Amino acid sequence: MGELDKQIKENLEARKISPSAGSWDKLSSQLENQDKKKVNYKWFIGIAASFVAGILIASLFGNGGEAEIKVVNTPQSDASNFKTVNQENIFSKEVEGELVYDSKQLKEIVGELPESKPKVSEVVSTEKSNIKVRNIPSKSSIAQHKKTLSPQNENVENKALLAIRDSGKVENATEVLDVSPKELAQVNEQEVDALLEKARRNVRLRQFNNPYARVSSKELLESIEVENKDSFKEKIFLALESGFQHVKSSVIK
Amino acid sequence: MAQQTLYEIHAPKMLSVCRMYIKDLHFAEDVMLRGFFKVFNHLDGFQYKGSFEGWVRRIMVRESIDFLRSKKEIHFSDRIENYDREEDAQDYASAEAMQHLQEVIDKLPEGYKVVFVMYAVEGYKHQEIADLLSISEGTSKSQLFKARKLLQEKLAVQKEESHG
Repeated sequence: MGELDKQIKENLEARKISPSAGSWDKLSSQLENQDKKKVNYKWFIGIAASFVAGILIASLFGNGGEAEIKVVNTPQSDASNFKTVNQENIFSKEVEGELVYDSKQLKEIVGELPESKPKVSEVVSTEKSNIKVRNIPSKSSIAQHKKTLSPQNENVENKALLAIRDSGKVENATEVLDVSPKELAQVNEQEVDALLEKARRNVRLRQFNNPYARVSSKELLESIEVENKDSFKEKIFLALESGFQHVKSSVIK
Repeated sequence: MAQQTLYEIHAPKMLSVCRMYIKDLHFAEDVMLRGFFKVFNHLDGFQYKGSFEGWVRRIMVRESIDFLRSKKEIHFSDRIENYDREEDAQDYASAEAMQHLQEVIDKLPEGYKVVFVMYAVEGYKHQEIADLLSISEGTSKSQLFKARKLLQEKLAVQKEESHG
């Protein structure tokens, strides 16, 4: 560093220039404005955070709506229960994957359903269209049938059933039921009972000629399931629509 | 109150620093206020490694350079000349010469003045000056050389005029 630099440095470093009188006021006002801006910024952050929290809560409510939709899916499990009930009760016994049809138990189960009339007609029509006679009935099913017979016919039926056990096959049981689906759809519950009784008698009478009537459980279940699926789909669509409307309204709110 | 106390202690020196770079005293004061505004908003950035005055002084220098840049008043010549020549040993320390020293510095071109003040008065290295002003180290050295030469000439003229 030269002599010039040194001399200039010493003189200029020691120099002091007094600022104007209002300079501090000017600076303090700037600092106060800065503090206010910080406070406003904090408020803005708080408002934004609450807004985001509101959106999250709304989305949670939306999820709740979806959960409700899942609850609406309960009919599906009902349908599966229905299948199980059918499988357990309608068919008295399962032999090599096929179930023996018991009309009495079917009537009891159908009577327990909430919408008995249409269900009865559906089930009975399904019964008519899908029951097939394939194999020889078991002794237990024959004994079960015996209980439902009147005393006068018991001897005849015993002989018939025993004869039936050892006789040949019957092609199709659709002819066993003389009740048409249209007829069933128009009757009330008492009439349904009467028709079921009539159908049962017809079944018994036909079993004298065709004693080894068996029902293909799979086909019967599939047909019921297919019919139920249609109504279940409609329910699902309705549930989805209502759930969507609920979520939409909650988000808008 | 603490801020006001700090301001009252350091403001006269800091205004002098800003005045070395900026010819207009009002602009220099505005720049100084901006510098103090940053100082008070970034007090937690002071790490107590050096003196507080040195930290504030550096902020003032940066603010002054930013002001000159905003005014586009800094022009640098990349021509490098021989800056190692020692100036003649003359007595510039007389009170009369130093009284007009600021005026002479003010008359320097901005590029010369900034590099000269940063190097000779503030003690920056050429590399630091180059980084701060976004110029090469050679440009910083040439600016310093030219500033010294011009300053010597002006001070010599002033001395001759004063001796009449």
